[in-house]
Amino acid sequence: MVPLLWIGAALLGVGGLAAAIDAKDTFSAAKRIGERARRKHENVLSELESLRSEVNSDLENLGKLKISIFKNQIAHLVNVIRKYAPSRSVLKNFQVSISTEEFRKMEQLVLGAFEIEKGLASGVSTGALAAVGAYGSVGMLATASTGTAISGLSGVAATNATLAWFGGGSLAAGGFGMTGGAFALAGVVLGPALAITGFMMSSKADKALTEACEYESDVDIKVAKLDQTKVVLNSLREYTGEMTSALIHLAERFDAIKVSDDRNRNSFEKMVVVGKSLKGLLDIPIMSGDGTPTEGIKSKISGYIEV
Amino acid sequence: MRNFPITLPMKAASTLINAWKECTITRELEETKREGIRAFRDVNVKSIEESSAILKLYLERTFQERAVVIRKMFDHLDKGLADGNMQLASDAMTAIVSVLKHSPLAEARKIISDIRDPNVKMIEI
Repeated sequence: MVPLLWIGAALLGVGGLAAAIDAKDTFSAAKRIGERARRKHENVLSELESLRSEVNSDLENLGKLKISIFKNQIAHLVNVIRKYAPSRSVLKNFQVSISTEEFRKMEQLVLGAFEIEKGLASGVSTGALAAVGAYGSVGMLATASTGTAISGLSGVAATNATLAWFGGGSLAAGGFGMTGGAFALAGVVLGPALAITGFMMSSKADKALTEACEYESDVDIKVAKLDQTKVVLNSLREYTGEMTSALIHLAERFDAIKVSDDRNRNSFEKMVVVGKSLKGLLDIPIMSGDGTPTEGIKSKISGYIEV
Repeated sequence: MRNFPITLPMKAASTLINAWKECTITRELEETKREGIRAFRDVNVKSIEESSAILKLYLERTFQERAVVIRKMFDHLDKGLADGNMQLASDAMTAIVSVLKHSPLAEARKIISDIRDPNVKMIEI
């Protein structure tokens, strides 16, 4: 009876040793899975960061363009109107009207553009350009013209857009903490492993493998969401490009037809009509201050011209 | 040797058998958990990838359409300015501003939200 028990125990002991060797391989596999997932997450975050920089750069360029148009085309329009149509009633006979209030705001925005440019030259408004590009002219330039510290104007537009897309915060790189990656493998292995049987080691290894799979799964889901954020950011670039292109084209039209006085009423009217539309484009925000998109596309544009 | 207590090897054997049993149960349990985790991952990743594909397609098409409309409106604007037809020019510019005023991302955001909402039976694009 006793020898049989010893033989049985010995066989199980050998099995335990085999399990210990197997556990080592399982631990290695868990570690590989965790590290691979961590690298994948880091790579996607890095790609997303590059894309966000590109979006911010596009918005900065749009901001520069807007400031340039305010300083040149809109300033010209304001000067000519001020000089040749100073009375608040003068413009009402044109097909397009500019109210006194609108005109006052235009003057204010031109001043704001000069203020921002001054700030850029002295380096205090770094970061404001992207905000000018993203949030439309009214808020940013009006703020600048009232003497608000330009340095406080932030250019985190692209970051806000990505955060807003998922309701905020879900982009956070630290979301997984230390659940994965190394996931305290050392602590799992060392200590108990030295003292316990191969079977217990094997159980620990299986649990570690599950943890690694759980981490990998979280990363895969997170990466899929980050990929969706890339689609959003690329569209933001597209929208910024669309706006930039339209502004350039309309500013070119303005330059082609602008006049310096009102001797020719038709030419004067043309300039006012194009100038007012140019100002309308400058006012359009690409996004809200909190990064959410502006109005939806389902607008009524029927009734204008058939395309 | 005769006085060797029989309980000792039995106890040792019992400990090993228990460890082996526990190891086997744990292995099966963990394997089941891993299968569940992978299935959960696959379902979620697939769902997100599908909504991303719809989002991408919607945005691409929308921007293409907008580009056509904007280009044609600029043609109308040029014609209006050249002919002195300020009504045409003004309407063209109003249309350009109107198109650009509306962010395709806002509508896309709603579409994605609808895709995720099981109560939404039909999505109008």
